[in-house]
Amino acid sequence: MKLYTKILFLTGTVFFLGSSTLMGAEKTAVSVIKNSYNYMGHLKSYAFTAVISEEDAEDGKIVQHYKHFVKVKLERPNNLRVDVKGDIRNRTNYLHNGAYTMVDHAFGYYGQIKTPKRLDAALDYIFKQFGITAPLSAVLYSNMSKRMKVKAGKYFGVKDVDGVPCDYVAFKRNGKVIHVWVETGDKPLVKAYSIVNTNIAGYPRMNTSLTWDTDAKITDKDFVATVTKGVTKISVEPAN
Amino acid sequence: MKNKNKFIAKFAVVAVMVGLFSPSIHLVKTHNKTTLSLSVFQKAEARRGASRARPARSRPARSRPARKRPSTRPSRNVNKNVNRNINRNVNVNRNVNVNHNYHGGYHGGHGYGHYHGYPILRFTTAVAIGSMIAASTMPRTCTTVVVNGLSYRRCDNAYYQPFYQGDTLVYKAVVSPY
Repeated sequence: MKLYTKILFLTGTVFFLGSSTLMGAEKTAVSVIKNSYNYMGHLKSYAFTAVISEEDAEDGKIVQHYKHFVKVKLERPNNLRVDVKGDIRNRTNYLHNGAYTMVDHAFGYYGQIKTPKRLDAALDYIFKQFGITAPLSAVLYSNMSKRMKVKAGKYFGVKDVDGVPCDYVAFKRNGKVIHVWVETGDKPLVKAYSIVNTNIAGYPRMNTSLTWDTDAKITDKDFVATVTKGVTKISVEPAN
Repeated sequence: MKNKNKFIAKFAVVAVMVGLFSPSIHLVKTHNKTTLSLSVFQKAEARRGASRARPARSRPARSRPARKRPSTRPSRNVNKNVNRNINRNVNVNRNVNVNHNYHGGYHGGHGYGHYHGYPILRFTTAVAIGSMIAASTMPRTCTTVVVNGLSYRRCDNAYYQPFYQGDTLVYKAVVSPY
């Protein structure tokens, strides 16, 4: 065998073997997101702040932007508090002791409904019975890795998000493309996600970035609904 | 000359392979471990697609090998494969994520939504009793009154009763509570 033939053979073999053996060790989009959901689901308590920016498209053009600042405190298995302030909502939502309470600071109303005690069941209940969605619920459920049925996605490698190295993955689902950035290292927390709605002309996007505090000081008092004087109770009816 | 042509042909084949596999080596830190990662197909896609952030394509369902059946019914193996693929598709349709908006936001989309099939309207001075009005369109000049423990919004001489439809605040035009 001549020298160049040997080199060619060797090079080909190295690439072939390298690709076939190392493919198994590669991170995949699904493994990254499942690992993150598993990690967050096993945390007993945490707090985070989130900034949610949404776009509204009309006739293929982005015509409106909305921004909300969200503060979340969670203590498994029963307690959740979500404070939302922004262009559309100015509310505090509580899930505590088998009750869901939303206090509308902008309008001076509050509504309350009975729910199952455990967070996962309570979130399911308010969604199924009343059509109430918790916008950040993907990072609230304890068993999101089981709920997630996505089978395929794309892994784009490690990218920097606000100075934090993150695994960048993307999924396509139901006409929406979901990009997720998960912190690398021993705390695989969702750092940011972006949803592009390809069903609507103009492809409006919703961007969410999160700042986590897994050692947050959380007390029972945080989850007790506080209704100030002058705020009146109104009924909560199921959405269509 | 013949040998030179052979060399060029073989070199081209290897070059294509290198291009296809497009490998790169870099260090990845995961869970307190530092691992040497030699990137092949997926990372190559990542490099090409990261800046453009192209959507992921879903893979077609893979056919699984048929289970071993008793030798008395050997011909049914092929049919079974087809059935199992169909089942996988059904599971995709039942995807919890499709039904539950785990990643939603606060903007509800165009219009003001519906209440039991009837559209929720923008506020105007003359609306029929029973009409639903979007909270975001209610004038700030309206005042809140509480009658018999129930809260109403009064705009001129018209009264509106607030309630949550799901988590959306809606007003219903009602007759005067007085």
